[in-house]
Formats: sequence, C-alpha cells, structure tokens
Amino acid sequence: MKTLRHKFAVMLLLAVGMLFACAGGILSWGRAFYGQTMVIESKEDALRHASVSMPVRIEWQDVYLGKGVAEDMPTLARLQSQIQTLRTSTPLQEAFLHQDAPRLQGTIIYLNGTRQDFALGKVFHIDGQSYSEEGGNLHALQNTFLETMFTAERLASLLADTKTFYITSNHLEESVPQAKQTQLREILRAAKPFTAEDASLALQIRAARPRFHLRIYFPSTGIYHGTQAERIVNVDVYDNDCLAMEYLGCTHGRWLYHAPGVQEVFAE
Amino acid sequence: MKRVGFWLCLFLVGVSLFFYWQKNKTPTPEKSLHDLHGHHLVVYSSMRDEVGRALLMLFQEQTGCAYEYIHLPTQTALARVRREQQKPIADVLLGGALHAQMQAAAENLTEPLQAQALAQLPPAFRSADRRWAGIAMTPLAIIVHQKQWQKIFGARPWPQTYTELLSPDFQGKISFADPNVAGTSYTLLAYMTQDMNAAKRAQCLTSLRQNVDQLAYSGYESVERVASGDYPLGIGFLDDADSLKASGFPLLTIVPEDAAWTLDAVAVIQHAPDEKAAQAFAAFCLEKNTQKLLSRIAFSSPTLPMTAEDDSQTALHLGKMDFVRAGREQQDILDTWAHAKQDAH
Repeated sequence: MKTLRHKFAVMLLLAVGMLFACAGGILSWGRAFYGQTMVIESKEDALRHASVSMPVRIEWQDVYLGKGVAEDMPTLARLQSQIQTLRTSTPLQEAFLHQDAPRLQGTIIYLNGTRQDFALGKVFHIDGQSYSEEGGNLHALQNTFLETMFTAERLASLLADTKTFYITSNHLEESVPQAKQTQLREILRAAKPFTAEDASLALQIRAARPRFHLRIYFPSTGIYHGTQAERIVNVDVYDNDCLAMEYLGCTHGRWLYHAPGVQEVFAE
Repeated sequence: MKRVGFWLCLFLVGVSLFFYWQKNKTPTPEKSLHDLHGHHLVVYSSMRDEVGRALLMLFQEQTGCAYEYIHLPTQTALARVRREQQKPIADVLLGGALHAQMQAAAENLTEPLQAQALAQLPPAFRSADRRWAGIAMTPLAIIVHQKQWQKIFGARPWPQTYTELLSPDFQGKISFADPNVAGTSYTLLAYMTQDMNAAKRAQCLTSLRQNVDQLAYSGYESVERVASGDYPLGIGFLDDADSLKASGFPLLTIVPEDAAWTLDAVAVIQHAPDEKAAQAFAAFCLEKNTQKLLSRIAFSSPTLPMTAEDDSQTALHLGKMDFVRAGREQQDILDTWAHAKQDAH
C-alpha cells in the first residue's frame, strides 16, 4: 500500500514537472525567432518574395503646399498602411459622391513599375472607387501627407508666392516688407530641424513664451474650397533664434527649428 | 531509481525554464527607467500631438528606448486596441478622453500598472484596479475668436454655460469635432446629457447639431478652426486653446462653472509586445518632474497633488463627471447624435 502511494506521489511529481516543462517550452518558443537573420540569395529571389503591390515611390500635388514625394520606407509603409485601411471600408456609391475638387492628387508607383492615381479631398478616390471618412482614417491619411511635406525649406519656397505675410504682436498684424521676406526666406532655407539630441531644448522652447509671431496666409486657390485654417501657418520666434512652425491645416502641432539670425531680421 | 532521477532532472529543468520566462517577462521597476536600450515602444496617443511626441522624446533621452508614436483621435485609438485585442501591436494607450480608458479597462484591454507613484494620485485620477492613471487634467472650455465674435455678434455677452450653446442664434457658428472619432466632443455630449432621459437627450443633441456646421476630425482641429477665424465659437479642451492662444491667436476661453473635464491617462495594453518598456513609460509619466514639465508644455494641470498648487482655481470649476456611465452609454449617445444629424437636416 505504502509503495503504491509512493509511486503515485512520484507520478504526480512527474506530471507537474512535465506540465512546467511544456509551459516553459511553449512560452519560450515565440521568443526563439526574434533577432534571427534570414538570408535571401539573390535580387530575383527577393523580388519573387516581395509583393508586387509594394510601393517604391508616392508623389503628389497639394493645392497649398505644392509637390510632395515619399521614397523612404517608413513613410511609404505608413501611407500604404493608411490607404489599405481606408480601402477595407465599403466604397461609396456614385450617388453619394461629393463633386468638390480634391485637396491633393497623386500617383503611387509600385515595385513592378505599375502606377496608380489617387485623389484626396472629402473622399478618397483610387482605382475607380471612392471611400469616405470612417473613424477618422481619411483625415489621418491627409495629415500624414501634409506632415511629410511641411518643412521650413518648403515654407521658404512658398513665401515667394505669398502676398499676405504678417508679423503679429498683441493680436495686431503688421505687413512684412519685401526685403525682410527675402531675408526670412534665406533663414528658413538654412534652418535645421530639432533632432533627438535637442529633446531637452525642445521642452524648454515649448514651455517658453515666444517673442513674436509670424503669420503667413496662403492665397485662395479658387478651385478647392477648404477651411481658412488650411491657409494659415504660424511661426513663433523665440529669444535663442529657435522657431516653432505650425500649420493649422493639420493637427501635428509645432515643428521646432534652429534658425540663426531670425531674431535679427525683425530686431526693430 | 535511475528513472526517478531522470524524471526529477526533467522536472527541475521544466521549473527553471518556466521561471526563466517569467523573469524575462516581468519588468523590474527599479531598473526599468534607467536603461531600455534595445527596447521598442509602440504608443497610440490621443494627447495633443506635439505634447505626446515631446513626452516620448524625453523618455527616449532618459532611457534609450526606441519608440513609434501613432497619433489617433480617442475613439479611433480605442477601436484599434479593441480590434487588435488578440494580437496587440501597441504597448501603451496614452491620453484621450477618460471614458475611453475606462472602457478599455472594463473590457480587459489594459493591464494593471506597476508604477509605485500610482498610490499618490487622488482616487478620482486613477483606476481602483490600477489599469489607468491620470497624468494631466483639463476642463472643456467654450472658445471664442474675439474678432469674429465682435464682427458677428457685436457687444453680445459671451456664452458662459454649455447650455447657452444650444441657442438657435448660433446656428452654423460652432466649431465641433465628430464625436464618433473625437473624445473631446463625446465628453461634452456625455456630460450634458448624463442626467437626462432619452427624450430630453435627443432634444438637446438635436439643438446642438443644428448649431454645428462641418465636423472636425479631432478636438484640436476644432480649436484650430476657431483660431483661424473659420468659426467665432467652439468647444474644446482648455489646454488646446491655451496653446494656440500662446501662439498669438485672438482666442478667449471660458471655463463654465461645473465644467466637463477629462484626464489624459496612461495605460499599458494587455499582452503588450514590450511590456517592460510600457510599464517603465507609465512610471515615467507619473514622476513628479515629468508632471511638472507636462503642465508647462501642455497647459494642463498635473494630477499629482503636490504639484497642483497653480491649478486650484481650475479645479474649483470642475463638474461631477460620470465617466463610467459615459463609457457604458457610448453607443446610445452616438446613436442619438446620428438621429439628431438627420433631424437637424
């Protein structure tokens, strides 16, 4: 009887042991594949594995910000993923389509050379289908396009065509003379965006009070009827020649730049 | 005897393997903030975009943790976490209106936080089961574009309560975000109708819908549209309006008595791919220094009591928000809003 009980205890112990071993094994299994390198033998092999629907370049024209191009993998992947998400919704029927002019038109160029045109406005048109706003996806896609192209350099180039450009203080707007606009264009062209190394300075700037603001209004296009917010850029200028640009047409908030000399231009 | 020895060894190996996995899975709070090189955090954030980014940049600077920051409106972020429940992509759910964090907790989409500072938060600013913690608080304000107001309404006094916004005089004049997407607007709908029966709720939402023109995509965009002068009047969180006010836009903000409010909260998503980094980030958000800094850059109020000295005035205006009910009745409120849309047109 005693031997039987002993055997039973050993068996129980073994069963528990096996259970732990299995659990440990299963849980460790998922971790085993991380960090491993996979060798692809040749370019042809890589192309065979790659999806033909992989975009290699997306180019577009925005009514206010001009021409944009995305060629880097993170941006392409982000745009592609947002487009795919939109396309999972049910396409709109012709009767429900808005006929407004789109804000943005462009082309997706794929790895196998095919091209696909699209337009983005109140709806997203691609491949003869139209998709509407659902859960904010359309807007998120527009934000990504705009964020990608909005830089100090682009703003500099846009200033050349912009007639309405003000310096503001205490809610009063004063027109900026042509000579100063030219100087500012040069400064914006040479401005350097904040990087990860500037994290602490960025926090100081975000908490600081700007010395003055520059307000830029893009001219109305006459074709696209958007909001007034889509035509406004605000630039906050700080004591240490740093500036923060915000485009009210997207929700990104402010982009920070080092812009040596910007204060001097508007010193008086 | 040999056989027993073999099985015993196997038992020990099994137990060791199991505990090895456990040790690697569970974050070590003391170490977590110091070195997270090699970790990668994915964050779904509904905080104001630049504030969320600044927070992540600082976290990276202090810990070496790489991150991916995905900015989404509140309702969209919650929907995405729900959809990915079986295979989470993100580690952290950050900010947005509080009802969404509560809903995520109720649906077991988030897991308990390990941050020790959690206990220091007032009970209203944290979940009892540790699933979310408030890191910044802000009331819902009425926002006025002073020049536009004067142009349209002259010397008429500014509205002082949310109910005044239902006046037919403001038809098409209010900037408002889509409550199906933006937590800002949903917070207002839930707050205004939390003590109403179905008929009154429908009437209230129809009146508001008539005064709203094109819906914005997020609470911040709605405030941007007031700042630009597209609308003379809007509803948005005070911190968003204050940030645009600091950029020189002629905005005036009114925080009504018993104002609706929300918390930007942080939560770790259940089965987060990088739970260690996620827990460390939550702890970082609750640090006193982070909270102080956040209040300076975000124009919001900190949630840790020792740092709230400047915000006692704002706190006095806060109304009683039933966030649990707001989460529970979301579908009903949004359905009523959808009907209100049809009635209004």
